Amino acid sequence: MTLPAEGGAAARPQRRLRLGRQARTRLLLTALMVPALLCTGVLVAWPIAKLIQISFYELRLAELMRPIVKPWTLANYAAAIGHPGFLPSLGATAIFVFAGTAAALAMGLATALLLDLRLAGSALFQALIVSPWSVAPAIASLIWMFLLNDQFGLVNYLLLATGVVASPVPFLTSPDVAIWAVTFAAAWKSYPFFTVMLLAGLQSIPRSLHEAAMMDGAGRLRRFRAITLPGLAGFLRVTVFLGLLSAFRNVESVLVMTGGGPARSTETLAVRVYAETFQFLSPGRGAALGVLTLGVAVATTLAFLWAGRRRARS
Amino acid sequence: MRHAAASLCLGLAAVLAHPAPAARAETVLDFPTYQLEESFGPWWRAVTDEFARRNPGVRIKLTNAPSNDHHRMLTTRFAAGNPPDIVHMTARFVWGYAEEGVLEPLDAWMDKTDIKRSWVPSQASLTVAGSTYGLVLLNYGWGLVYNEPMLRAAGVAVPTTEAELLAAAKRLTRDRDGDGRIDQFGMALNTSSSSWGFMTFMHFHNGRDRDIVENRRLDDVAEIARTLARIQEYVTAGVTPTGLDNNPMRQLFWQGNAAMYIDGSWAPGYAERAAEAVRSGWRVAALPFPNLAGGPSNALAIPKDIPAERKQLVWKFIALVASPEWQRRYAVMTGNPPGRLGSVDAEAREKWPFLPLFEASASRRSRSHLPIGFENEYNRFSNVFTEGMTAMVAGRLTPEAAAARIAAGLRREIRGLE
Repeated sequence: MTLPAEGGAAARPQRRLRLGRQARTRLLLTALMVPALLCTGVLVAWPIAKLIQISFYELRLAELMRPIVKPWTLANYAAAIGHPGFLPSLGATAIFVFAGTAAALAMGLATALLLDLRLAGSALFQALIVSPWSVAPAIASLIWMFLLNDQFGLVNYLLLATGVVASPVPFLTSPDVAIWAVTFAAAWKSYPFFTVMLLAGLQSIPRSLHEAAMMDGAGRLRRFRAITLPGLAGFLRVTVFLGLLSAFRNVESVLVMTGGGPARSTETLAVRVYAETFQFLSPGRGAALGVLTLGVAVATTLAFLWAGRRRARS
Repeated sequence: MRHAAASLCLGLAAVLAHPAPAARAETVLDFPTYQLEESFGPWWRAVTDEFARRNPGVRIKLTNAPSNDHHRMLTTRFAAGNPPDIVHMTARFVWGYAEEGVLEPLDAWMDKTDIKRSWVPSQASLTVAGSTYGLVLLNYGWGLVYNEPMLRAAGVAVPTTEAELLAAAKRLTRDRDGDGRIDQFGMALNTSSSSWGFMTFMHFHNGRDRDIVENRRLDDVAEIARTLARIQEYVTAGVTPTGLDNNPMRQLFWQGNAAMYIDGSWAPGYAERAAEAVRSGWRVAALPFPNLAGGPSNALAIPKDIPAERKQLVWKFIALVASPEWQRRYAVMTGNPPGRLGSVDAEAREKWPFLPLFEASASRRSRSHLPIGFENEYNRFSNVFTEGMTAMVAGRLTPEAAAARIAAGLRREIRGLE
């Protein structure tokens, strides 16, 4: 920016807009945000807008990226909601998302507490505990598919060898058990994320608080409830929020392990979106189910955040 | 110095203005397939190399993807208007893609060849509204793969009827180590939620000489129940593990823990990785059913959304694939009966002893595993069927109740099905 020269009018160059330091900083920050905003628009907002648009039309694959000339319709939503598999898939989604996130949270919290003890060899423990995170989702599902197989699976072998069960447990072939098996496998894959986040939270709690409480005679459980949990509250909210969103969109765990069966018992909403779009070639119905899934996910997570904030305030 | 710089600039300009002839002229045809890592891989590589040799300046870029990912990728690319040049797919997708308007009819080219006269019967089925949309590479040819030493040890003859098959499976099911648990199954049947679970149903249903759909009418619920009951007999007798998908089913047999299973003409390809005892003792017999679940296995097609000159090149490639010489080599190199009838020669028969059996199975007129008239809805059919069948296998439904649920589900989901 050129500063006007002091002195007479003849010496003064053209008047230029003068911005203060704050305004310039704001302008710079806005300019720096433009690439991120563009990326978000192209990679997030546009696909969601397109998904919503497709859900209101009965389109063929060849028509998806062309200008739409057909009348809009609610037929895709009617077909998606009216399908007898819709309510069961909501139920399967609820188990998969909530039980899965709860299990991952429990495993993550337990392992984070263990690592926070800083025992000898904890670096090795840390690497082991976090290792499922590094496994690709489809590979993790394949590993569990083999582990839980009722003929060759290691889990059944151990259960039989130790006399816990008399006959192999049909983990993936019984409609009553399969959803829990798949949920557990997905939780196993995602718990290291909880571990890492909660360990960071644990390490941000001042040790002096624990020491003071110990001097006052507080036991482990009391310190956990009065110091650790309140100290982790913010971390828990964010981690569970992200965990819920991740579970809603998880499709590969189910697809690889059971394909949605047996008897559709593991068919979550995400799996139905996949099936309608890629197996039955009905992009409109798939998009309608996708919008419904998005709605359920957003409503659930907002409700969770709202409840969390309300509790924090009270 | 100035002269040198000027010469360098001129030289660079000349190079940039006139790229090397080879780089300028080369056309690359994109060809993703799910068969590159299977026993078909060497043949695909050989035929694409031959195409490049015959067509200077044109190269085929072969890429591999697992079957499910491959079809998901195809659907995404069709939807995005960016299809591969050469479309290779499981044949059951041909009707759906054709109805979605993303495939090019092949009749203008095909009618100038002998393909329609010289091909397996199922080639005629790849038509939608009178137009042909694919070239059948392989027609399903099925066999009963069995472990000969196991049958001999149990004094069981190779079954030739369905009743004999069940009886043999019962006698071959054993607790070998005496721990109270079965560790040798007489039969390994796919009763999973995948489309291969539906294929098991069709083996037994087509096998009874029945189509699942005739004149747009679903077969009687009682007949569907009868077929389901036959499958359930294997489950309740404990001669097969329940809920097996293809990989564990094959693993069970090739590791020596099952005496029999049903597989296609590609089955011999698994023998290389089999347990030592199975590698020398496996045999193939004709399926012991009066009829077979026939139909196309996989096909080549041309996408609608590529330029005309590329379509022409892709057809040249399809014509090469369909030529008698490359069909003969298909049999020799892959051990599968090719689409062109009469392509299995002495060399192939010598190399693959069971090929004639699969060839006979693939080339005979048989019932179709596809719902005739509703081929584009195959995946929905398969999904509804396996939902009912897996519920039955898990003990939640009787065969009659499963059949009723399947019939109701299909009539609800398939428009126009009576």
